[in-house]
Amino acid sequence: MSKRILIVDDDTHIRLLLHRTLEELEGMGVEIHFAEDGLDGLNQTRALQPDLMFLDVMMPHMNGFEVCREVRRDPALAKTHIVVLTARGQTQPPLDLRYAPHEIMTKPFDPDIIVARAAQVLGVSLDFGF
Amino acid sequence: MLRRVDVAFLLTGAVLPALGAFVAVPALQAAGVPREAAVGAVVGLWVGAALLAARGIRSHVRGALDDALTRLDEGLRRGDAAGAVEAIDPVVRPVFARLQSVLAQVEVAGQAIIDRRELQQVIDSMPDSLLVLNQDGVVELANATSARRLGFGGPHEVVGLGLDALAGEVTPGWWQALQADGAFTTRDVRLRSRAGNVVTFSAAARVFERVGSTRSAGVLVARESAAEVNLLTQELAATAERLEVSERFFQDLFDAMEDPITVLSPDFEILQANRQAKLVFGRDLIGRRCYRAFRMRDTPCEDCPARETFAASTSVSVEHRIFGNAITRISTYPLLGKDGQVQAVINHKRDVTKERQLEDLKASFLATVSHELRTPLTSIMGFNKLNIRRLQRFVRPWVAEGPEEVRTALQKALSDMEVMGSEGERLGRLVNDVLDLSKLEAGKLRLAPESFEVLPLVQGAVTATSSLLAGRHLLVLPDVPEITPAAWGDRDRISQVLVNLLSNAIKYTARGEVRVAVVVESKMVRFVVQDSGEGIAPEDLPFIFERFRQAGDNQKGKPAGTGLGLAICKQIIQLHGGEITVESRVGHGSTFAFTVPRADASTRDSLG
Repeated sequence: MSKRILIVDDDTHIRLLLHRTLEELEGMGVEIHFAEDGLDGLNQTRALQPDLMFLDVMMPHMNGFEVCREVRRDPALAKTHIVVLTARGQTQPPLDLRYAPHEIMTKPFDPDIIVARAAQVLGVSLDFGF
Repeated sequence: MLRRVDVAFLLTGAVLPALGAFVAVPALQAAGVPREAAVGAVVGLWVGAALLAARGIRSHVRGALDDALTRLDEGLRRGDAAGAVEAIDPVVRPVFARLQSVLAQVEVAGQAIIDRRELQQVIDSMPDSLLVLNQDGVVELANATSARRLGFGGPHEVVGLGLDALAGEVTPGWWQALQADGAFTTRDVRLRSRAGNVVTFSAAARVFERVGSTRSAGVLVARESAAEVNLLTQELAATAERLEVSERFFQDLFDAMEDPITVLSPDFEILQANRQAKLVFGRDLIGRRCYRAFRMRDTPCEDCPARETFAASTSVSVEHRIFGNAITRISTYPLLGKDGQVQAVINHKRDVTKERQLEDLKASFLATVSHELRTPLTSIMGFNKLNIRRLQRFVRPWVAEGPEEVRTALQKALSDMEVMGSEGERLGRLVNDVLDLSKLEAGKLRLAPESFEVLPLVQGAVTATSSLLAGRHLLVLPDVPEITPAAWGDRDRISQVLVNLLSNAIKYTARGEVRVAVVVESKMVRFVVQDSGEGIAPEDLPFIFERFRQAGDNQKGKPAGTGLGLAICKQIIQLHGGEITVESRVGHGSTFAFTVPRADASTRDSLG
């Protein structure tokens, strides 16, 4: 079964950037899916059960931390590794560690770090071809 | 003490009677006059003569005496003694009678002199001026006050002066009025001083009947000069008016305040209230208890700031959420009495609901702006980086063998994209700094204080800034004592400050050295960053910790910064209860230093 990444962000260009950043993983059998708001993100997570999700915080309908909380409360989604991408100064993450994301990365993020981290989480090896 | 009258009596009673007894009486007896009559006549004549002479009627007596003696002489020459006595009898009897009357008058006058001296002392002690004038307008009696007011050496210099000298005219208006009406109670009386100046008395006067005489005279009792009284009255009126103007000014000022202000007594009674206070809490505010008027309570409020102000004589400020979401800030200030004790308390209320809402709005606005800036920035920088990677991975190998202008163009494009990347990073730092500073200034930044080791912090900062050293002939020398107590604070924030100071020092120092020293003090740990750089101009020094200030702003090739770094450093250090300082000399370098509490010192308790 192929590995799945879910990108949840309401900003088209951030979705595109993350897609471009991670596209070389597609060649290694990794599926990349997209959601455009929090609620869409939660529904797709339930449907796809992704291995890794990148979650924006400020989104319509449901913010990233709320999505994160719902995902982590669901035992069926226990395998999903959640990386919240936040701008500094946004809403603080929940203090209850049971529902906290696995990682928080700050925008603007470095594409190299994102792709390296994704490869690590998914257990695929990357060859940058240098 | 011998009185003048006594001297007169001695003369008339001892010397002259002796002459009479040895000369006149034997002569009369020889003429057949009975001894008693002769003695009586002679004594009477001599005493009368002496005394009458003293009274200034000597000539009259002398004339009568001469006449009597002539008659006596004629009678004696005729040998008719009885006739002779009889002849002088009509002369001697009235003289004798007059003599008795004069003696009585002398007696009265003697007593009068004593009375008069006492009277003089009494009237001299009066604060008012007193003048007694006879009906001819001549001063008969004056007191020391009137003499002084008129510039004379004493009352005796005033006595005897007439109205012509005293008033400049014989019948001044007030004198006429006094004669006509018999009295007046308040009237300006102008008299002349010895120097000739006009002195105005506000005087009362009345005419009185002289005892034993039908002649009338005036008494003038004069108070302070009307001019002076007028002046005093005017000054008093002016002062009163100034006071009134001042009071009205302060009342207007009080009323013009847009916030409710009241003055409270120690038992919480409202003593004063401005217009706004009455508008908000009711017209009948004065006299009511503040807790009842302001908060509808029956007892003083437990969170009352006025109570603390009364107890500690300090101003206190608290915020109450009173009705719904409205937030009121209540500030109290002590009103001190002459004894330095708190007499009353000023209670100032301000509705800060909007301020608090604005602060919340500002915070959420900044969060939004920060997010909205960061999102496109993330795209720009991310795509830039992806493009650099693509060009390096796929294009560069392919053009490596191609024409030189293509290789050069690619190299320039890559180099320019690196610039875009670093400028993007700078923009990101600016957003972070603005957000940090606004949080710090709003007191919203929460520190995560802990005990931390100093040496790793310094080493971390040196490592973090090492990339800035590239291409500079610069040494960074850490100088940390071997045994340094742990410091207390938010490790990441303190590190942020040290990295900031260190990168500034490196950026502004072309060659030489930058020293990072740690000095252990009794309660604090002091971090010192000293460079041998260009230094800071004296006119820039006072503003160095203000935001958007960069020393040498006008210099060419200024180091890229946000201009917020030192402002943030200052806020962070102050939040830790420490201080940050700078010393600098142009051409010799700058020294920045800041303190952080030691983990074993009591100051750490005050940190959040």
